[in-house]
Amino acid sequence: MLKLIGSVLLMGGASAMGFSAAAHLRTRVRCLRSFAAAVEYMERELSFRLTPTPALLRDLTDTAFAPANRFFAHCSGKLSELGEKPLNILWRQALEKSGLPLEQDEMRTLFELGEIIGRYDGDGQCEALSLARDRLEGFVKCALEEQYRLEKVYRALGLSSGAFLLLVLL
Amino acid sequence: MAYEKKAEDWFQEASALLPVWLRCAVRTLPERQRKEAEEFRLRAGQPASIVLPNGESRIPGCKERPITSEDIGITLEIASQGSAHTVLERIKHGYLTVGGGHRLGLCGSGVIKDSVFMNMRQLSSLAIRIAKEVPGAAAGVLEQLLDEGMLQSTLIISPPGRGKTTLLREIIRCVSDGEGAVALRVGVADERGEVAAMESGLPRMAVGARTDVMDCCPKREGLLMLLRGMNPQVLAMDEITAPEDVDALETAAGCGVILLATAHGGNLRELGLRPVYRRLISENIFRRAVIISMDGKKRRYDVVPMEDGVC
Repeated sequence: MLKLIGSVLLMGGASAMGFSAAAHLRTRVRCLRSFAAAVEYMERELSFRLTPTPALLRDLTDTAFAPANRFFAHCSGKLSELGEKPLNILWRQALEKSGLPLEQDEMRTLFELGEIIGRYDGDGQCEALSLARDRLEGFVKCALEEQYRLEKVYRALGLSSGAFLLLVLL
Repeated sequence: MAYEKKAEDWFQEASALLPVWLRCAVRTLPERQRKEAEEFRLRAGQPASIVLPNGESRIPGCKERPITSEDIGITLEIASQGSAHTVLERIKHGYLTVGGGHRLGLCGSGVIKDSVFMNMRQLSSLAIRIAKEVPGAAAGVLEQLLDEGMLQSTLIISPPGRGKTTLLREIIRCVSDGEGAVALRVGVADERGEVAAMESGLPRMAVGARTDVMDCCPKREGLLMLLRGMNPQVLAMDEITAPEDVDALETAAGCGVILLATAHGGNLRELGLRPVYRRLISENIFRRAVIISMDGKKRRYDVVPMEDGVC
């Protein structure tokens, strides 16, 4: 009986690993899309209304899709520390704390935005935001390709490795 | 008592613009100095100082720590709430007014593009002028500005930092509320946002119940919009600096509106040396001038007539 329970647990664990890897691919795409949309919103707000950074962060906390909205909420909350730390550091810390499911290059693009936001004139920031949006959309494309290519593979791999373990152990 | 509490609030508000280490230091100043403080001065390479009625002195506890360019940059970042894009236009003019009406004056190396001053880099000095209301500042002055009970067009003159804006604000409040004068509708063209310190559509400073404020818009446009849209009986503007301001005042004067304005200068004679003001004086736009000077630690207000181009 114990052997059976152990084997089922092993199969369940292996399958869960496969499904979790597949889910990571999906959340990465969703995350990149949410940031691409948020960056587009920032670009529009800055070019037409020159919205102050605190108002922009508050708006995005309310309107951006998850998980970007969580980051903007973190960042908005950290603005009270302005004076102890500069805005780019607060932005970086908020990104690090948000636990985003992104790759190194993708995170770097978001970190770089923190060096621009609130530091230059509206046009300068819009140019940087436009560039960041292009990059994020590129990342979305790659992440989608990866998702189509690997999602089923990860799931199948998880299930089959679980089944293989089950066969070996039984 | 209420005023004393407010003076402390203004100090706290203005000191919140400083980097944290300096903010903590200034908040330990004796209560009297906190209430009397007029400015914070930050100069790169020098310890920070505070301007009190009897002069400028170092802030205790900061003498060993000179201000750096980063400290000045952080102060500007706090003041702009991390939004350089919203204040760049004002930085081009060398100052920035923040919520509450406190003014930051800036010095640094200019960035020139196509022979036009674009911005400042490498900031070297910063002055934070603490905004204050001084209820009663117009007492003894206002009655001298009346002729048969009616307010006369008045120009307030003094060197920087002597309280022109404070006196103007108090005259506006008294006239608007009918305190010591016939109550009149007042329109204020508050380009720098220092007279009324508007926030979410409400004035932070007391400017009276019959006052309409057009803020953060060039004085000339502000005056003309008020004139066209708000049917004012009195029009007020802070700091006449450009020929366009004089043009707008001339237009308003021709419409039968009483004018209140301020200008930098030691006295009428000095003012008359500058072409912009010479025109203003010779055209008899104002009927009274209030000259603010210092008598020891106290301000002195001299009201003189300005008729027939006298200067």
